[in-house]
Amino acid sequence: MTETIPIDQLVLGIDVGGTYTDFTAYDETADALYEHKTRSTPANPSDAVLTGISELADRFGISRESLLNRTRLIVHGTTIATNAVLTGDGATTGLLTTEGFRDVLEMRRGIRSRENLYNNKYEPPEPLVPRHRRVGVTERVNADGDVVTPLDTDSLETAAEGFDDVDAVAICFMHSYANGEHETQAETFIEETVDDAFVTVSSDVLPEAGHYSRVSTTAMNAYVGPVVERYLNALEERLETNGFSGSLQIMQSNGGIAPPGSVIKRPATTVLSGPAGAPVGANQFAEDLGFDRAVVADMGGTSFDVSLVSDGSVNVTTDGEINRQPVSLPMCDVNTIGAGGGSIAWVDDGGLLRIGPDSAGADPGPACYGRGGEQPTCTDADLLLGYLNPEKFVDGTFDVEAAETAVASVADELGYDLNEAASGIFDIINLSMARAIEDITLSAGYDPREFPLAIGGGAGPIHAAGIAHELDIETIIIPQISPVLAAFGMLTADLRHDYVRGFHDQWADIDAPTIRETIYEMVGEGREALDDEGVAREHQRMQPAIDLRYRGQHHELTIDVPMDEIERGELDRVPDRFDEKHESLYGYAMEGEPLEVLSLRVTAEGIREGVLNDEEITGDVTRTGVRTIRDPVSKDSVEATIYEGATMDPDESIPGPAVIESPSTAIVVPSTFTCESDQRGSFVLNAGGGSNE
Amino acid sequence: MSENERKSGRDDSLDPVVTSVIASRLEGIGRKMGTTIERSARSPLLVEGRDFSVGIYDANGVLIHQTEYIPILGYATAPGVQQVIDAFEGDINEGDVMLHNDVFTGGNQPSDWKVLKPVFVEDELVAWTVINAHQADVGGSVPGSYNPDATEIWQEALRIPPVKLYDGGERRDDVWELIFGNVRLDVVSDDVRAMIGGCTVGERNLHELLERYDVETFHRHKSELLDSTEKMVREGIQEIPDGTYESEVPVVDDGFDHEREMTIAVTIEVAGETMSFDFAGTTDQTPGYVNAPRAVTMSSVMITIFMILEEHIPHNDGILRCVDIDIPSGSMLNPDFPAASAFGNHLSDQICTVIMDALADAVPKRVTAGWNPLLCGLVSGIDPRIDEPYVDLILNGTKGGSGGTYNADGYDHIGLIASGGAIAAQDPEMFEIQDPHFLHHYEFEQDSAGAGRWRGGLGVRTEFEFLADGVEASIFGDGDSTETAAPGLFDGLRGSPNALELEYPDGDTYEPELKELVGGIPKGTTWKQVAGGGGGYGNPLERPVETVAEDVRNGLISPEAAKSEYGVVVTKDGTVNTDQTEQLRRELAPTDLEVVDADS
Repeated sequence: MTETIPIDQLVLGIDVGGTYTDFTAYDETADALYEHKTRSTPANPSDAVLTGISELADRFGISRESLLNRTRLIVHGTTIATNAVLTGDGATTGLLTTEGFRDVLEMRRGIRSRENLYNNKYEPPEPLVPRHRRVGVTERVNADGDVVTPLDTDSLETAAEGFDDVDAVAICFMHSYANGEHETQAETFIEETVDDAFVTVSSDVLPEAGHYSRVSTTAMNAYVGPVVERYLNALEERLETNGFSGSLQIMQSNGGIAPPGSVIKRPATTVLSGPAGAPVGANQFAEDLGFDRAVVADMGGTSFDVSLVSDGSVNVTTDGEINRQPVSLPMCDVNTIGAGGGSIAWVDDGGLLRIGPDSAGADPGPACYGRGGEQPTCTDADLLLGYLNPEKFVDGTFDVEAAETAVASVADELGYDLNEAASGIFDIINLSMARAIEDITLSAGYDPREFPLAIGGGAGPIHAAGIAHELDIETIIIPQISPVLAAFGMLTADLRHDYVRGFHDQWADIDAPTIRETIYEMVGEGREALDDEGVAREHQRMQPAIDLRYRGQHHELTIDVPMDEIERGELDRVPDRFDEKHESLYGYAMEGEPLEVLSLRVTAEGIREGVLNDEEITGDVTRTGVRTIRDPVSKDSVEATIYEGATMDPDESIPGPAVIESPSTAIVVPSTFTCESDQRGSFVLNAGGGSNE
Repeated sequence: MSENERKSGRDDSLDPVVTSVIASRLEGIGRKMGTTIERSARSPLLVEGRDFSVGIYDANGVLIHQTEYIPILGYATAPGVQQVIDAFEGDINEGDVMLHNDVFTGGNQPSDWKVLKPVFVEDELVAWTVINAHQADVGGSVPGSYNPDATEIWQEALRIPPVKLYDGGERRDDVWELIFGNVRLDVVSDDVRAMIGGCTVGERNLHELLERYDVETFHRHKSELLDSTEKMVREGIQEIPDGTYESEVPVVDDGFDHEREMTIAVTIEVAGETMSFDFAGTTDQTPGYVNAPRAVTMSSVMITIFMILEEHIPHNDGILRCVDIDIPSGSMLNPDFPAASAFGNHLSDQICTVIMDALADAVPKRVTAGWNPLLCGLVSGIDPRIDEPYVDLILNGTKGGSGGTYNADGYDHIGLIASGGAIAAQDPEMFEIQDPHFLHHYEFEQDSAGAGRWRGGLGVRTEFEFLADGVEASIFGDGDSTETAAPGLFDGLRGSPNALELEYPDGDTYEPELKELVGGIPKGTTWKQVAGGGGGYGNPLERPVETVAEDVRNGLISPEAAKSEYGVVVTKDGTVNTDQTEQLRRELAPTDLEVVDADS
């Protein structure tokens, strides 16, 4: 269908997923936003990118070349590195280490798995580089960076002889963060002797102490390097050939964007390129509502991904893992658990009800899909509890009888009736999801009650209120574009630069002007970088922070300090803030104990704006009837008002109990919540008055 | 009401969903308490090594939930908790904090200190939050408490019977000063503050839980949780064939007589849904510290049961109801007052091994071959870089391989069975940054893994140089001979033994005994340690040729061992001579090659 839309200047967000490649197109002149999906082409993911662009061009009534010609910027999230790691299909990699340390990568610090303390059949992940391609080289630098043993070139030559068949070489020597000279020499040597190899050294990738983290991250960088490089080079070329002369930016795992040239040097920064889009996108919606923080949850068919936005930016961790392989570069902190619409309910040997992690997936899917599924799933319970309209399945109606038979199997074992069993399934899966949220918020040091819940995915809006109630979360945000939340995130991703300066000193000895000077230095660098990127000063945002701990502790807490306090040199409130945060996280503070400073930080952001449609929203929600549902909060049967539609007027308010049915999902509003819409069409559920402690 | 419900005739006041909710929440609370220690404590033993365990008990001291960061401290905590509660009965108030380590009132090791905090709702005592954690120093005659010359408890540690550190929210400064005035390192009082913080985090979260569900509901469903766990364990035990199973294993060196061989013996009776463990036949208590308080055996038994049942069983008191444990008093596993016992935790290696071995014929597919027994060094001295004392356990050097089991090789470089692979080795760079040590070598050791259809996990060679002068090392461990190395199962071979040697700057070498204090180690001395491999499971001749070849290619097995132990003729690069291999395997195979019954 051709809509023939006049397009002037476009920005494209493209998120390549496993099944679908999602597009968001933002027309800057008309301030109009479009979404599009096309089937992914895993064998060559750039095919789907080009196909999708053609399809979009068709919608606009222009040629692909013409569309690309008018595209100023493409932000691209890719699963190319993710898949290489998940399928074990990365490069044949060699690793050079200091002699005597070639097994650190595979030793994994001698830890089995917290979840498998008693499981003697647990097998470790295969190392990214097998032992016969890990070779020790004679050389040694100590912790101060002094050369103890000079690099022996003969041993380098011997090592390189074993690298005939490798596509990538990682180099990681002891203490190279303190002195990377030997690594650089080895890099030069390998580049000269091993043809066409992708070479990467640890003092470039992660210049900090901690050999296991550094060697694993460097090995990961090498392992995905050739794959990412080939893909991005080919994509750039295809886009150019097809008329694109704008800027291509790649979504990084940390939620920020960077050009291909820099990503190719550190391809390990893209292992979570896709999932990072969702929190970035959700951030914008949360901000609209005046929140600088949000728990972002995406409930799919088999998994539930949680990430965090705090202080207006996506939470990143340096303790990330992918497929049980550690990556110590900043990446969006995503907690994934096996809970989704397809999760299967079962009764354990002790007679307790459990849900998941097994899922009925898409085939056969939940019993109520009527495609032969017989096991009780979360979606079956949702249907029986009245949250889903039995008459409204994608291609017809739900198979209620199949759902009842399936749920009856666990009900019988528990001595429950159907409704009780379905309620149990619903409550327990909500609890697992609530715990996944708790895990990620608490380990990042936050109280989930202080966050709104931004939810995506088809099943998300059904469960959102139940999860929120469990956590005492009062506000739920359901963005309009939730089906393509990640691709939308790519459109809105800010330019982001993090600066850190080691600043090891006792708090008692610090001097405010020195701190100010160091912070100003970083602010200056941030402004310069953002100026170069064309970000106007009023859109530049600087946030200073100080990493502190009680003397003798191993872990720091990062304490934000308002810029004006830095400017005035008034730092006397910092220790109190530290004590407060410590007390609230760990149950005690040691007021007056000596504090030490570890580092100073500045985050410089270039805020991009205007991506969201400011047009007046016209509500199309209409009341269609009444249905009995189980209220997810009070757990009672209630008569819920049923609505149908995709948008509400901003001044409209729907009190619970209610269900709002849209083509892709159902929003369940408990009696104690009301549903409203914000200026841009996101649904917002608010816990009302007294009932929520 | 539904037909189903009438049929089951269940108690209406019980709701399995609420039970699951409460179980889930307790798990979350345990984790938060643990995170407090991991993130805010001072000693590397807690922050890096995670040598602690967290528990939530009911008002009567019944374990409701446990998060064991190191398994040996888990079920070893309960007996002491009970003693503390009994000691203060009638005088337990909101805001109290209790401390305890005494091994003669339920403690497991003098270094493992318990902090307990009662949780009240209005005036009712509802629960206890408890953390049991290994302290860097606990007084006694040597730093870190491992004293092979000790003959009584007072030479090992300050003995702490149940005491209140806080009374109704007020710190008892007199008790505080008394305790910490008897400890060498300042970090210990900081670590205890972190433990109190962890218990407070647990208390706050329990308060939230008890606001959501009233106390009465909590009590009812807590009991349901324990019952359901008990039921799971009973069903698990029922799968083990009834019978009487016995075994014994040696322990060498009692701290005084380095050649002396003691025995740990067990008779296991499996009858329907219950199991009993009788340790009669175990050697009488020894004159030195090679004695384990009763709690150690309790915990070791639980570790093997969890491993053997192969189920996700909630960790609470329910399991204890199905298991009886008898330990002759006056034996090395239940020593009489005032025996020394600092080594006791490490007898868990042999206690777990003897149980696995006894049950091998009953549940051949679930037991593991022997794990590498611990051989550890605790070093202390003055760090010349800062001119301050340092104490550290050489953890990376001590972590050998675990035993092979049906369908899985042993785990490489994992360490003692009682840790289940939870204790982390020091990162090689952090090791040099934190301690005045220079690491020369830290790699898997070739041919350390016991050969088998499923081989043992690999051991590790660690060599480092002391940059400080006059260091003292307390060596404690076992397994340094071919007779005491990790045993194989079902024709699997033993793992390699532990070995430790000090090479002095003048080139002289010294091999310490298994339990010995070595003082005055000069700067420039090299510590050379090999932690042995785990035992193999099943006949090595049945291991697939290509798997053996891959291990050879990776340098984990030498071509010589491939030939002599596995009957595989292979070159260093992994190229197999198929004809010679077939012939050799035929020659080596005994006529009665014992194959594990596939159906057992």
